[in-house]
Amino acid sequence: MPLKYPTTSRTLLDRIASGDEISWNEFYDRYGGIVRALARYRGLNEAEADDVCQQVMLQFFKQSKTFRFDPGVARFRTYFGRIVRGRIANVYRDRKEIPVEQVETEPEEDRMQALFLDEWRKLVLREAERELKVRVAPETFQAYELYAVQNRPVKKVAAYLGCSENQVYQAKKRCFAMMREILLRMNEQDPELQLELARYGI
Amino acid sequence: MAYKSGEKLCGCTLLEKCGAGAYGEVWLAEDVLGARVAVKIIGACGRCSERELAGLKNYRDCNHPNLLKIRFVEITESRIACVMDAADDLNGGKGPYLPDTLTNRLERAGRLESKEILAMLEGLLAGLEELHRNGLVHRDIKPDNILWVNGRPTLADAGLIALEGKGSLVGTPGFMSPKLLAGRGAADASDDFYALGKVIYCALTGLPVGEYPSIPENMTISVDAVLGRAFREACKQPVRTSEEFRSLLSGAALPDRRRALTRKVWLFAGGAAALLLLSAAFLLTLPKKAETLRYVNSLPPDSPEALEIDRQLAEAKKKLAESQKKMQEDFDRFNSRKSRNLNEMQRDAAALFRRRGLLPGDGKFTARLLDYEILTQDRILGLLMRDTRNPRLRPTDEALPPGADGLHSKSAQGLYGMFLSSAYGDFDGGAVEVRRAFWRGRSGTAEEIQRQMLETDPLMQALALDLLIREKANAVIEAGAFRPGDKKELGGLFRLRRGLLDSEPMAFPDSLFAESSPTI
Repeated sequence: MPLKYPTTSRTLLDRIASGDEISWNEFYDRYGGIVRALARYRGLNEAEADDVCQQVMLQFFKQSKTFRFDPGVARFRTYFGRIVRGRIANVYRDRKEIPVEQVETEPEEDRMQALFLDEWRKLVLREAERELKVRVAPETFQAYELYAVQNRPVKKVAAYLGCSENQVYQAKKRCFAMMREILLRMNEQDPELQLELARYGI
Repeated sequence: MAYKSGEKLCGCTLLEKCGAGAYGEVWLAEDVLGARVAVKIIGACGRCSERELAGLKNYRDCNHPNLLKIRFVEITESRIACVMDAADDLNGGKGPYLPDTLTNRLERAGRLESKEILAMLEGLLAGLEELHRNGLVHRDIKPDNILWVNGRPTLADAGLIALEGKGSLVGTPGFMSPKLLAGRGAADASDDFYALGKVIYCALTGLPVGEYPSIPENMTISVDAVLGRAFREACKQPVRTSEEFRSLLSGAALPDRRRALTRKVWLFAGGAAALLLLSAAFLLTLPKKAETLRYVNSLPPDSPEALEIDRQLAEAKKKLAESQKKMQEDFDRFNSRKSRNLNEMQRDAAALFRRRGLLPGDGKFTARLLDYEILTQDRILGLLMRDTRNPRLRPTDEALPPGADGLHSKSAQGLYGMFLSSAYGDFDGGAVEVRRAFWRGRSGTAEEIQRQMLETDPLMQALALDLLIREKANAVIEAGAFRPGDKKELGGLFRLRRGLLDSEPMAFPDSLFAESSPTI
């Protein structure tokens, strides 16, 4: 994926005028993967999957130039999923190859739902890590990431960060506690997600 | 306006478009002698072109091999065209021109070797030194604006260059320091070094700046420990000079300025919380803001109503003193703990305030409100000082600005006057000038004036937003709960306000809470 650097921000009034609370690029980077995964699962080719992705994004930006939502909220997930499925069905209708009814059989629909939920979990976990990043000091996050996520030897991590091994353990402990708190909150908001907490000590 | 290949501009022939930014396009071109140059074309869009021109004027006296040379500038009604040295061709002439920028290098190579990064930084630091020596700040250091010209790392894009400590909030998200984003003062040299720290991060990890501080799984951390530490330090606390930055690159650490800062922040927090309590207590005694101004102003000092207000306020002050004492204990306890960052501090403060019942709602709102209050306590002071019975606060007739009679009462006029001088007394030209500028040609109700202000310059926008935020926040405090839409509205107002604050917050006067305070 090419590197995307944000563009120079404009003045306040320019920003209000264009209403770019969250940009197309941000939306695409964050949620495009889910849309394309579902489209490909339904047998669409790359070009069709990209097309569906664009249509979904357009649908969200149609109401307002500003887009905001909380991925932890179940209502939004349902709404998002419905739009994606609708756009995929449109592609089938346009193809006129397979009747839509045949594609949307019940077991198939269940499998699709399971896949969607799985992709959504990944998204929510990424969001949780983003929140963690904001909440802890950079070195604390790096200690957690290098030691607990990437499983690098504690000695190397401590040497890289210029701290003691004990501080690395402490950082991991604190980050785990925060991740637990974030994920518990997300599970509470969207019980169907059932995010895995065992990894973080529950 | 669309430009085409082969078109003549500033005596140069445009060859191919090689970039487009927020304000314009950059073309590779050939001058009359056949040398390759870059032409940046900025459309005349009011502020953008004004800012670009101001940046170029500021940049005029800087001449350094690591700062991109501007050869010629042409201004017409529709555009500003700027002829500059062209970046080297990353394709080496084989294929279309690809400017040798850090962004393009990273896209091609993934990430840079430590040696290459250090060589780049040496050049950039030398360029920055020249800028800072001239009292200027770049304000937009990022991989897009780092070029190699004749093999030399060069800092490009003079468009946002401003005098140190002046100018509004501009830059690129991710590369702007938390200080700038929080509106705690205009850009200075330390903000350029902060951005440079983020540039090291991008170059070293190959990740976009939004991923900071993540480290890619395939990066060998033992090799890049010094640079890793350098970017963390540069982004953690302000680096003031290029010498300090160079010492980071040699593996040294900066002196720890965080403890001192912590105490300062908490003293601000204490003051802000106290102010909130007092303002809430004050508002509870008054039914409507606009009405109140008229009402208080017309009361005889010894009337039963005035005495009742005095009594209620004395009670509020007493509660405030108790609360301050408890809070000081909490702050002392807090200060005795180590290794805390601002986010944690905000969260703890939010929890603390909730326990005390000082503020309603969730932690997020409280933390943001707290943050805001720390920054704008001087403005709150203006709102508290609304009683014009105090001769010290009452504006004299000469001080009353022309056109002020559209406001509700003399109290309101006095409030605005006080507000302006307390908030912007340290601004260019002094409070009197600001006050005059504010009143010139304005009339109507306070709401109409606020609307007018929102359409004028950032200073006035900031002031108008302060008033709106205070009004809204106080309404929430008064109601004891958020109503639908409150959070959204306040969140939006906070974001807008943070994008505007240029001046440093003023010191909080302890005398405000003294028994002999002339506030009421």
